[in-house]
Order: sequence, then C-alpha cells, then structure tokens
Amino acid sequence: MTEMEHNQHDIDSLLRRSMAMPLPSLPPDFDQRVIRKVQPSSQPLVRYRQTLITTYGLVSVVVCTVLMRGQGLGWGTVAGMILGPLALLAITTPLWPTTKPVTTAN
Amino acid sequence: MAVATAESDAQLVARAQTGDQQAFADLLRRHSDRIFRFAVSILGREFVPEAEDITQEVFLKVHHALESFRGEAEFSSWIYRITFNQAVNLKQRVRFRTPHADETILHQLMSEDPGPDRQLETAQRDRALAECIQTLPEVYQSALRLYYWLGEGVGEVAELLGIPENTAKSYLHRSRQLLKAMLKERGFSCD
Repeated sequence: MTEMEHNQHDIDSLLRRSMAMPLPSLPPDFDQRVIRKVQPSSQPLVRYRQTLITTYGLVSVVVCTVLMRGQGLGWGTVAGMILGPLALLAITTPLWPTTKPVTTAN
Repeated sequence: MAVATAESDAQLVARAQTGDQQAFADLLRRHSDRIFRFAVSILGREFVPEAEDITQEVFLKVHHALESFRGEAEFSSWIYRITFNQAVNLKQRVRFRTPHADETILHQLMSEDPGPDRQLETAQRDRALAECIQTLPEVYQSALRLYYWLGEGVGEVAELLGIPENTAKSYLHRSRQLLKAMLKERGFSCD
C-alpha cells in the first residue's frame, strides 16, 4: 500500500465511522400531500362543494340583510357588516380548496 | 399472458404534459425518495425537515414547469438540477441559523466508546470533522454525504450531481485529502 493510499484509507475509515448515522426518510403520506397541492379544481366533488358554499353564503346574506333591516339599520351599515368579514376572509384565506383524488400507491 | 412493464420517465412525462395527474403521481412516487436524499446530502443531517420542504418545492416546481420541459435532457437530470439549486439557495438562507439538535452523535458515542477520555476525544474529532466538511465546496460536501452517509455508489453520486463518474471519484478523493489536511492542522489524527 502506498503512502497516499494509506492516508486515504485512514480518512476513509474515519468518515465511514463518523458519518454512520440513521438514514432519514420521507413521511409515508408525503406523495399524497404533494398531489393534493397540485390538483386542479375542476372535479365534480369540488364543484359541488363550491356550489354548496356559495348557496349557503347567498342565503345567509339575504337572511342577515332582512333581519338587520328589520332592526332599523341603514343600508350602509348592513353592507359594511356583511362585506367587511367577507373581505377579511378573502384576504386571509384561499377561497376555494383544490383537491382531487389521485393514487400514489402501486 | 401480458406482462406489465414500467413506463419510462419520458413516457410518463409525455402523459403528465397532457394533464394526466396519475402520470405525475407515478413520477413523484418514482423520484421523491431520491430527491429527498439528494436534498439532505446538500443541506446536511441537521436540516432534514428543510430537505423535506425542498423535495415538496421541487415537485411543485416540476408540476408547474412540466409543460415547458422539452426532453432535451433526461427528466431525472432536470429535477436533480432543480433540487441542487433549490437546496443551495436554502442553505445560503439558513447558513447562520442554529441547526436542529443532533443527539444521534452523542448517543452513538456514549454507546460505542470504552472510556470517557476516549469518548471526549472522539466527540471532539467528529465535531472538528463535521466543521471541516462544512467548509468544503457544496459539491464536495454533497458527494461525501451521499457516499459515506447515505450509502450511494460512485455512479449514483455522479448521476445526482450531473458529473462524469471519474469526476465524482476525483471529488471524493480531493475531499478526503482536504479533510485529512484540515484535521491535521487542528491537531487530530485519522486513526
């Protein structure tokens, strides 16, 4: 064994010992998580959910408007109380989820 | 009897480019572990959660840019290059941040070494070695971690780094030379 090979052998052994650590791995649901993030929002289930949420929102707005007007509040106040929280919601969270089932298992 | 054969990356990419989400899922399943290990090799063992984030970012980026991929290079080479750039960029940002506690080293030393003096000496040398590795060029660090920690062969190291096999060998050789010299400078032997 040459001097150079001997030197490399020493450091080679040291590196093998020093770097012998447990191997990290991805969590089992990693692939599914990524898939969920890249889904287009055109699936029937998603559309159904969107329709349901939209209908619920519209009905709520109408009911709230009728009730608040019934209490004698002005149109400006009614509009502010309904649109204010909606605007806040739109700013802070994405309105529509984008999910679609795709299998990542074999 | 029909025998099911695995589709090539190129075939899956072609299908994914037409909007086939299952093809993208297959590409993801095929490459995610390797991308994660490559990211870990660049960031180091103290940044495993960050490597997971990088792996996710890479696939989101790939999904977004898949339509523009023309197949002039191998799909795997393309995503390895994206991974390298993403991980190196992240490393620049977290360079001065305290890494996650790595108790594995202490645990390993406590259980393997015979006496407290020897334990201390080994711990100091391992710490010095880890610090020396951090000073090497990124590609050297990655090559070392892939080869010594993650158990990849020289061929795989070369493929991930996008270099010829002889260059990968040369990187490992040069890294060992540099580390040996740096340890000697700090008063540690490699025995």
